[in-house]
Amino acid sequence: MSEDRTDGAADRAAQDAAGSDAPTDAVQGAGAGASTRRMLMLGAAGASMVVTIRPALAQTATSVLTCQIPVPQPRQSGGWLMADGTVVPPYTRNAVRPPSQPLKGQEIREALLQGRLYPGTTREQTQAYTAYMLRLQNGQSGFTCFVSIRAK
Amino acid sequence: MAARRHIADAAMPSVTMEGFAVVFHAASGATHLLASPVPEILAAIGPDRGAATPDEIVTRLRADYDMDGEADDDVAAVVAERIAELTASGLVRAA
Repeated sequence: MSEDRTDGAADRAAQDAAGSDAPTDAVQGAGAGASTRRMLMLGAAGASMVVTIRPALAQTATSVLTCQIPVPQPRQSGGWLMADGTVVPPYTRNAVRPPSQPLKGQEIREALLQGRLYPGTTREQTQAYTAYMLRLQNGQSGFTCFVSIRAK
Repeated sequence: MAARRHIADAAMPSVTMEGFAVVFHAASGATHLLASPVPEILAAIGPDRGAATPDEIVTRLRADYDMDGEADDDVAAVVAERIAELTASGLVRAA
């Protein structure tokens, strides 16, 4: 922290606020002269001193519904999915066919929250797709979209 | 609340911008702008210094800073209010 600058600004602000309040000025002057310790201005009671900037992900209300997740990610395009979400070669035994289109945020939300199936899919497919998305990690296509949907 | 001990949630990187301390809280993913005296209070209950009651925080602040003749009660009132705010933001927790 650049304490010196902060203190200087706080001092000036306090003196401005004090205006014609001579005793306050005099006390501050004496304090500054008598001590080299840093001054801590407490500020007004009742005023909020913390401003929180929410994660950008949690604010993307509109993009949550419009973002899309390719299943599987393009690097594994054409792969099929096991029930646990792992990507396997096409026609692997017990694997399900991936969706022909990326899944839409709104559809994913409804599948997660209401247990709906993705359009034109079986329950096994929907569950495998959800399992796949749960395994997504940062850097993989769709991860940010999925985190946003779950954060809502 | 008077006798409860509080401690900063974790060691948090902080930079100063325009007189505010900008703190990133990894646990919540949120970023906070802190105006004085909040960064100073947070530092007084950092993991390196341990949990403290509001009265103990006042003592630590007095050791660190000149507070221009503020009465203990006034300092304690401000500290209690700031601690409540920090707790609500997740930066500080009861110990």
